[in-house]
Amino acid sequence: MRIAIRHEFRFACDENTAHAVQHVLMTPIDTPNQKVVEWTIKMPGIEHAARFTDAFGNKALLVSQTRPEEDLFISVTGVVETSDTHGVVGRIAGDSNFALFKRFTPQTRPNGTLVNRLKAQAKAGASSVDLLHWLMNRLHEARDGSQDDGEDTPEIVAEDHAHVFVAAARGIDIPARFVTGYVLDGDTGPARLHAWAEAWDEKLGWIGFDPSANLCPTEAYVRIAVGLDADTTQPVRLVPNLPREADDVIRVTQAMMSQQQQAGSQSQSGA
Amino acid sequence: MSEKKYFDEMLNADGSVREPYRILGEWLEGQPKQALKQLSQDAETIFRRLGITFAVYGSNESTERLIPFDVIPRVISAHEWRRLEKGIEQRVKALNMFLWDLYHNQDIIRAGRIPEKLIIQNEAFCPQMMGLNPPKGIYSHIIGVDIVRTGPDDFYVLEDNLRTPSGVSYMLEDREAMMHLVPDLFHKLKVASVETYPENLRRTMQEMAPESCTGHPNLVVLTPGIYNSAYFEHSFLADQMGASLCEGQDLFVENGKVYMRTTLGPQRVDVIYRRIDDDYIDPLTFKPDSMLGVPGLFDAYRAGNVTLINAPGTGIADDKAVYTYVPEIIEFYLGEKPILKNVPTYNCTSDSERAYVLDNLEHLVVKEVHGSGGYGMLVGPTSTKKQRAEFAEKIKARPDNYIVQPTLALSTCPTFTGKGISGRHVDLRPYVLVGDKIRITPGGLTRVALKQGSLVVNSSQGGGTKDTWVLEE
Repeated sequence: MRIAIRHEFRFACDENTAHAVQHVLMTPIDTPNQKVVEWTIKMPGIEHAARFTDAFGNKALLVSQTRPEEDLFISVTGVVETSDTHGVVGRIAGDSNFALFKRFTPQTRPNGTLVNRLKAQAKAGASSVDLLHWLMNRLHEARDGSQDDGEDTPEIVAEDHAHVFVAAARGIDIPARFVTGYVLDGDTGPARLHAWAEAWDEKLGWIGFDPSANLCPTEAYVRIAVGLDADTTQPVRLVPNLPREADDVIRVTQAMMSQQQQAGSQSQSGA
Repeated sequence: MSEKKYFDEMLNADGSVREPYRILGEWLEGQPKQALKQLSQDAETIFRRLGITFAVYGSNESTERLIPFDVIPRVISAHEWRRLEKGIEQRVKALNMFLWDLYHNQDIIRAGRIPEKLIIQNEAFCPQMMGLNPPKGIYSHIIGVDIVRTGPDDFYVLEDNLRTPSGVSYMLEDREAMMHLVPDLFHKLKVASVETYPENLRRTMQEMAPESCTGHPNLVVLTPGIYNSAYFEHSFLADQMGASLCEGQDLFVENGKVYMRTTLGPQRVDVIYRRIDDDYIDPLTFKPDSMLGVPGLFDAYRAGNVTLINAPGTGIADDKAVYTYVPEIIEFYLGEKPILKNVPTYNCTSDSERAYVLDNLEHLVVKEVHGSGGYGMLVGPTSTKKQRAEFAEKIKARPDNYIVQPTLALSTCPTFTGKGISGRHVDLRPYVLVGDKIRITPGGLTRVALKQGSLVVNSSQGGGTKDTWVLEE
């Protein structure tokens, strides 16, 4: 499926903002189930950005502005070709440090009860893929049963679920990582920057799990960045910590031919 | 406890003088009664003039004071030094290879030679360093290896300081003071020079310039500022090398590169000797509330536009729990037997070893895994019952947070006590520079426990220093 993405957002600068730097993780890479056709990031200073691969295999940008005169406006547009692999991402070139993704972080402290239940099932002979599916279902049920359901903002729910999932998997010695990305606009409301998880399986490589939707990512998912947790995968980390202005504008739609051509005509490719 | 238990570096058991100390011994013999007292006073005057002070955290007295200095040098023979040098070189080579491996393929973990958990879950392991290729594959360029001696041929490495070891300015100033105080002795003895250290440091930094730097690399020393206990040393080294001394606010990152603010406008920076801890060097990547660092510095490093000396994440290789694996690490990467010994270390997470430790605390030394400077440590033989009880509880609560070692019979060196000459316990911190080659300054900083019988040499705990003389043949 061809997915077109447009994401625009803005940070407010004031006259005291003398020098601003950003670490931008908004460039998807090719994986066995997604191919980046076109990708463009526009923001002040991007033409001089340092481009490098971060510790987790993401394409990262270091962008800076001296005395920004207006708000920091960031626009991301792109087209990604995806395929449905039942969530299996597999092995990505240069991405062999799976042991790194067993590390607990302040955002991914394992929940003892969950870990003990997983261990018990592992003892009873469950495969790691079975365990991970059980974990995903369990988190989903817990969410449906929670009282404040409906009050939660979707981002928080997705992020928290991904954290709990990742931490529990690490708790039973399965490498797992936090993923950010986009999901095609659906009936569930406007598109958003989403968060889910990937866990490592010796046979299959990385497998995606979206505990907040209770499914393994389909072709409707576009994967942007991976890391240990939300902190290490923030789309834009910045100093000074400028306030976000208004809501993000995000459109994630199935790409039409004309849209692809439009996207292809943009300059300044981030890929 | 009889003094005979300890190895005296100057005197043999029969009272005769060991060969390396022969000339110094004769000289000491020939000094009139008040001479050493006078020398000590002169030394104090010199240090006051030089302005060498250090801050003691948690002390109520004035925040800055002189570090006590003993005028009797410690002597190491050329033969003894050669062996030490070889052992140190072997160690720093292996530890840099270990760091490369941990931040790349982790072969040593895959080979089952070191537990995965010990590395991956370790606070000192820096995930952000994964896959980064520092210039020439070197992570720790400036190292201070703490060594103790227990016999004529028995040297133990206490710890490998691979982060930002301090004290090198004392080594240099101690030598300078001694050359003023006893010029005649330097004529009688051929002492290997230490004055080349700043020049070697500058060379090492230049050799580590990023590949993208084509011109003459611009070097800076990055300090947390005047309130840091080692600020004197930061400014001293910058001065000696002809490098700029900067605080975080003097540097900024633009277009992925690092610049220094100067009166002539921004000047590109290529190599940074940073004396700021990992967590504080860059609020964009590490502690977001750090005011000491430079936002974007780590990314600029990652992009290959600047070199950080030492690299972040080197602490994993001098972590006290990883320390016990250093002999294994040397064998794994170099296929050699370690030349210098490790101090045998008890692992409190093992039930049987912990039981032994708890039963024998009065004979043991307990250290916090992430502690330094002699803080958070128990020295069994000089501890009170109450202190031991406290540490026993701490160890039971968090066995992984402590390592325990036997109390080592640290060698003694003749030391002027104000009344006369008496043996005091010492250790040694040689300083190592790793650039295109490994440069070890002959000697290093000798720290001396000035209190009679004390085994704690840290300056923060009342220790002093001595000049260290490595004899040339």
